[in-house]
Amino acid sequence: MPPVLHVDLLACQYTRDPVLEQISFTLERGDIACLLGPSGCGKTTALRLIAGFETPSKGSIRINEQIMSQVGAVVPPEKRQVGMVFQDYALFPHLNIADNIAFGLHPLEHKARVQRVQEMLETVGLAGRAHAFPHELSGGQQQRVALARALAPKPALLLLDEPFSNLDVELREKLATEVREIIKHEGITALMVTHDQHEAFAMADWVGVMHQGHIQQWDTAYNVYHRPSNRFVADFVGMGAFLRGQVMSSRQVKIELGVQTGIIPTQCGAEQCDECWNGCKVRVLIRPDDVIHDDQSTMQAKIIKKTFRGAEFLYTLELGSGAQILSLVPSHHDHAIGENIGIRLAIDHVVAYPEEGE
Amino acid sequence: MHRKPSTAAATRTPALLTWQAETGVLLASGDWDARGGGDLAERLDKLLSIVPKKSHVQLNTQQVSHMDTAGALLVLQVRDLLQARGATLDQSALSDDQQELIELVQRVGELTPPAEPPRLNPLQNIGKTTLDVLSNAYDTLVFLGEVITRTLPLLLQPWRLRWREIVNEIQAAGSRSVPIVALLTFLIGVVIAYQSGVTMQQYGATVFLPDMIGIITLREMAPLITAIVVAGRTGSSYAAAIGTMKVTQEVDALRSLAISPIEMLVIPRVLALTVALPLLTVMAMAMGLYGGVLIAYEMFNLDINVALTRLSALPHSHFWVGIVKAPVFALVIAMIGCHEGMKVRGSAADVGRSTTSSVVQAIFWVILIDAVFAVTFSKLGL
Repeated sequence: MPPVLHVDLLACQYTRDPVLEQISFTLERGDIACLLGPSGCGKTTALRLIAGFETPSKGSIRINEQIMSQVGAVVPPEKRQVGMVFQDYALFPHLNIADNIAFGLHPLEHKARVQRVQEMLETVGLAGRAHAFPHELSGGQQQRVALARALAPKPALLLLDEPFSNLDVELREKLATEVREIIKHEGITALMVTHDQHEAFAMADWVGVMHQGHIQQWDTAYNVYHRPSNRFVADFVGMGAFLRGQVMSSRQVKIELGVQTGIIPTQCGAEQCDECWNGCKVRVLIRPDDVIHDDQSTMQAKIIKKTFRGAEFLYTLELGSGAQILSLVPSHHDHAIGENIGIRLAIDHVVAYPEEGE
Repeated sequence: MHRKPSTAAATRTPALLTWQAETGVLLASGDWDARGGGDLAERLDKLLSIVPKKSHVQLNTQQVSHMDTAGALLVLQVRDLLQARGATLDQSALSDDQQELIELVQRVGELTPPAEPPRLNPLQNIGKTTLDVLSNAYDTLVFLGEVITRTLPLLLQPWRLRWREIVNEIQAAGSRSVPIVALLTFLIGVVIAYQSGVTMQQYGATVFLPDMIGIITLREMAPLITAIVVAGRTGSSYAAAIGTMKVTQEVDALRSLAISPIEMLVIPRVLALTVALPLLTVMAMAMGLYGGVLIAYEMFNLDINVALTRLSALPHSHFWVGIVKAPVFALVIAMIGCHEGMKVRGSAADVGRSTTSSVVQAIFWVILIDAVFAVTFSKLGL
């Protein structure tokens, strides 16, 4: 089956500095993807380009094999069959919920329209509130109305622009999971933009981490977290610390906490010849979940900071060399600051980057 | 660093700096902060002039009781002044806290504000303004073209028009403007009659007063005053309403729901005003004539029958010349209002700017077009 969305070498430039460069990805039918990045990385521009609100300066966008955007020729948003959920929902304030949802259903007969509205109201769990006005609803409810309105015309592609950023933190992840279920239920292909990795992980099959107008990594959420392709992704997604290390062989790195086996950065020359890696200095990413508290362990670290997070403590530990790492420990292991605890590493994937002249 | 309790604030010791020539030490004491440092800052230049050029100076701050960012800035000033004299300042004797503070202040000082846009000379300014005006007019023309090319097919299929919006807008722009338009044109009629009546009376020509009132009101005053009031009242509300919808992304939402904002927001407003403004103008004509005749009768003792006879003897072309302008004005006002609204990007401040701009532009173009009409009609002998 052809991809629903095909973005090819897209670039966008208003002034001299490009906002976006070389953005390429495809979405298959039913995929949910997310562009994740800090503010100003160009993710919203990418979304608006796909929606047709902006014109690209290079590249092309195809939806269902039809060229929608290319330099000098842009199909307007109203002819794209692309639904959109906006950051501030953009509900029509003078229309009630049912009329808001019915708004995009104008080509349908009256009866079919009423039926589809009812269906959507039930899908988003607001069946009883059809005649309420947007200002009478809570933020989460408004958000669901916006989703229902965008989904009602069965768009080829659904775009979501920071859909949860106006909601309470506790509500976000819960709603993200709900929204994912609704979108999957409708079988619609969706692309979301957010700066919050928890939302991205809760929603998306594919995560594209963006920085400075480029996609740094396009991968599953699991791989983005555990196998970040570069140091920016490693830093931006999740917590963690970098420890100095030295390459021992083509698959081995020695760090303070022992020799680890994993992928050696190609900059070390591991691919060119067998001995080129020798002595190459690297930084190894240590995630908090890689460090396990083990009283039997001979490796000791001193607690210098601790944060209670309910089910677990997040300890900041100092190693003998003065380097710091983070560790997630089940919260019944309550240790005092300054105490030495035994730790052991459980790293599935060693991620190392060459040292950048530090 | 010793921190005095805040109650002692009133009795601060001023910051002092003493030069000890024999050891090459600058001895600082007192409160190096915003309150205590003011005096010292003024005397700094003079004070440091006794330090020999190209010397190595040690700064001693052991007797400084309190230092804040103002004090840190003072230290930096001392350093810069000494450097200007070729001397160096050794800050190694400062406490860690003080060093940190000084570094912080220095970093902030290095942050340069964004460069001001280059100043234009008067000629460049005229050029830039001209280009802005032209490009603005061009944009409006493009917009006009887009709206017209979308309106014409709709007029051939009137069932596709958004009648509910059109009727709502006619009500908002038309019937709700009646009181203000009626009152203003009535008063204008009164003023014209009164002013011209006083002069005409001197020549015994008050019998021509109805002609005067009729011609001015029908040809000029009623269409113009109505258009200006509507530009201020309705044109601005179009800009504000559409502009706000742009800010809340409702316009984008419309487009993503496959509805053209031009068809939904602009065309109904343009059509509504094109209907409402001529109707308002007819009423304005009636009110102006009423006001004028009332004054002719009350103040200048003109017989009411004479007045009405003279009015009805006026050529009908005066009425048609006036009424023909109204739809043109309506088009201009609605187009400018909607275009200004659609131009809004981003912030709420933009909405205010667009609203103001829509009124200014609309009134300007209304009066300009009125002048063009006046010249054209007089050439045509109407």
